[in-house]
Amino acid sequence: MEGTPEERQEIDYLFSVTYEELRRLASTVRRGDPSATLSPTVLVNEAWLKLAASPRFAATSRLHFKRIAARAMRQLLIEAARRRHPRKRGGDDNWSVTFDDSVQEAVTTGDELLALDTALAELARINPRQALMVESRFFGGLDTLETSELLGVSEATILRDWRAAKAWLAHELRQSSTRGQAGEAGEKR
Amino acid sequence: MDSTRWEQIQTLFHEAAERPAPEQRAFLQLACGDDQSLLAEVLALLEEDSRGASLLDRGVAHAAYQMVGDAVHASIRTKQFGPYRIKEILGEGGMGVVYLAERDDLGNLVAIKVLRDAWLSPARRERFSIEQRILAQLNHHGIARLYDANTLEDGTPWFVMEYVDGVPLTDYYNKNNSSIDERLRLLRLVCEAVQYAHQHALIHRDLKPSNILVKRDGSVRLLDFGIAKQIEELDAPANQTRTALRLMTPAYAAPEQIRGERTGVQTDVYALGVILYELLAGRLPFDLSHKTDAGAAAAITTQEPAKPSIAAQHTAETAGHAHLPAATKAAWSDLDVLCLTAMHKDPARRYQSVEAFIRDVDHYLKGEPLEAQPDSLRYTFGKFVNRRWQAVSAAAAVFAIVVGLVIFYTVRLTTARNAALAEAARTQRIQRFMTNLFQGGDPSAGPADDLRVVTLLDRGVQEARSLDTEPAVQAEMYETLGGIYQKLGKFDQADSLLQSAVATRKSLFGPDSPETAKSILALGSLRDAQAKYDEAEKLIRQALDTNTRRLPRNDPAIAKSQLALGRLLEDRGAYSQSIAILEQTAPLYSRPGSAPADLADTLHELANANYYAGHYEVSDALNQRVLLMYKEIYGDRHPRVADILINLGAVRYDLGHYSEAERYDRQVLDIVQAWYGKDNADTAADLTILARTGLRESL
Repeated sequence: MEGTPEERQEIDYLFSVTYEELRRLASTVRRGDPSATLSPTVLVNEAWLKLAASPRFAATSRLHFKRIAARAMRQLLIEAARRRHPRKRGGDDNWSVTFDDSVQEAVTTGDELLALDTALAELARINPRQALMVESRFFGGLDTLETSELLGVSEATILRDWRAAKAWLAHELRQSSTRGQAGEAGEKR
Repeated sequence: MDSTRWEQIQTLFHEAAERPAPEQRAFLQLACGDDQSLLAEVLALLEEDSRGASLLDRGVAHAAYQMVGDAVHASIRTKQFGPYRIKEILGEGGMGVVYLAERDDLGNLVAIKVLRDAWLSPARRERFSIEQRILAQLNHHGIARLYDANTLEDGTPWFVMEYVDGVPLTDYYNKNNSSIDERLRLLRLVCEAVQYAHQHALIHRDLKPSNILVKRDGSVRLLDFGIAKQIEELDAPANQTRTALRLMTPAYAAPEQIRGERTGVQTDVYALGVILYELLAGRLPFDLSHKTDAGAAAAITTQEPAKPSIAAQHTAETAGHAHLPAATKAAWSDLDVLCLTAMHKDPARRYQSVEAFIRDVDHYLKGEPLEAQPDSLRYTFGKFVNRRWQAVSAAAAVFAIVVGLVIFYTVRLTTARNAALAEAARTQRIQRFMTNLFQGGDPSAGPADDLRVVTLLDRGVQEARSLDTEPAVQAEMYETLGGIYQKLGKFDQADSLLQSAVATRKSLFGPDSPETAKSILALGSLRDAQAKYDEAEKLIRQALDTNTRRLPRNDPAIAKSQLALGRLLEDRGAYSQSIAILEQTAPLYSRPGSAPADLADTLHELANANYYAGHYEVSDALNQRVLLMYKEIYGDRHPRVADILINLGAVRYDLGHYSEAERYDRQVLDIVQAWYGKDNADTAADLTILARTGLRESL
């Protein structure tokens, strides 16, 4: 995982605190209930409120915090997807995972998240700023204004970049799922 | 693909997207020229753009739910943890999953708590370990013990804990139909455990009935110190975050926890208050079921709960009477104060420690006034006057002893040859008793009087014991003395005396005679006062039955049995039944030749039963009537009159007519002053309550 040792430590700590949040929020979402909301924006804002008072984050700006939170969220979900993906389980972990009826859907989503992770890594290679933008918006729930501030570009640029990136990533996801269906192990590690 | 290519693709994409759909392909074919793959790429992008249905459009929320939500259950695959073998899952709490395990060699059962999703981060593993180490510090019979700690190969921490085979607190007292006193004693055990934790500088912060198990032997165990916090701990950044609203159960969360402010021992006191509320009223103080997080937060921080006494009434009415404990009005008044003080929104105004809470629980169980100050002045008088009234009627009832003893001596002395001597001796004896009893001529001044009455009673019991040759008289004495002990709250002495009376009468008159029924009724009334309602009802009905069959229709003993039954039904919360019986009893006492006091007492009970049933108008009308009757019987300034005035004030207070309520209360104060005298008022212990409520100035 990239990032400075300090950032890695911060993320690690963030996991511990926000993972519980995520679990609890997730458990309140009833499938098919339109009024139930599980919004990363809310989550990240809550995490910020909780941590803002702690001396550990005294020097961190809100925006920087959110960026790190976005990355933490990404790592968390990808790791969770890897763990739950039946084909991907390697090593000697002690936990078996049982699903209820949402088996197929969860597997699909897991696959998609893994594919997104790969594609984002690819995007980061060719346009780092754009990848960061996607990560912040999608995983961290930053809005257009916040993202433009974070990256130092205009909101119009953000919107353009987002639209293009979204389309490309969607395409990559579709191709990945097609490859998967054809029986190939499509993901690169 | 490289960055240049990507720039190219994007530029074309945006330009094409600005054109209307039919023109896009043509434009691109022109712009791309020979580069077929470029064309394909941009077209693919346009396709996805128009569809807008990818994961990125759906947002991460749903994906997150599927990854970490409840749809996915993790269960342990490894069954062997050191010498322990996992048998089944017990539940999930905090960050861990708890399993029931059995030790291979010894066969004893333990609970094993394992961190869920330990792979997430070292920080998370550390946090889990810290929490369990907190638990290991505690060694108390009321707290589930931690025996051992270890880690799996992958670093997942796990802990071996005492397995508690018990039921949650609420289930236990509901299933056992526990009385209020029994419930309070259970709660007290819990408080002791919490107090112990506080002494070790630990606040639990998540007290709730599901975290409190009661074993078959009636002992309690506190579980799950999952979000416990060390008071004043220094570093450990993981613990310096505010408690997530999500990590605790909102129903038992204190306002300061909701607001994310500092928590302290009073936070645990609050939770204990909510548990007490539930235990008294049969429901939680706030209905959070249909509220959002924001709504729940608002309710807990700003809404005042209904008084437990009122809530209990409503629960009894909607759910049927059987499962809710009942108590006298004065007792409910105390319980309201006990509960609402613990639950005060302002931590500074709650019991400042669990120890202070325990002290008031003990005061309640002993029938003593609480240390907590209620917000209303009504309560104070009720308790004060009721206790004094017991002394008053005890003194009055002492005359009955005297009369009894006189009968005894008369019986003895009729055997003396000199009747004149007998007469003189009799008169002297009475006089001597009177002077001994009423030193200084002030019949009810202070606790010293109680002592004198008790001395007299003890002497009376001694005398009665020597009456073996006169069993009828002896039974009479036992019954009278038993009744007085009961009025003084000395139930144990009353119990043995009344049981002796019943036994003696049974052997003298047979089990189904009105004479025996008299003692059985007295014993039934004692059981009522002891809140042993099932037995009380059995005895009273038995007496009523005997009397109804064996006595003429208008015999006062029948009415007396009915009155006792009405009282008992009211005490156990069967208000409609109580009202029905009492309404039948009143006419019996309205007949010529009946003592007006009996009718007044009956109507008094009827007024109370109606009050509890929520029929305020009826209750009020009855109270007014009883007020007139008592004034006529006892005079304007008798404590029994004060008792009614308190009732009248109570209804007005409940309905929010505060100035009217105060007027009644001032009348009560007037009576208290007149009856007990200003000097006694200064020294009597109970009146320090008055001093605290600031009324001393009016004395």
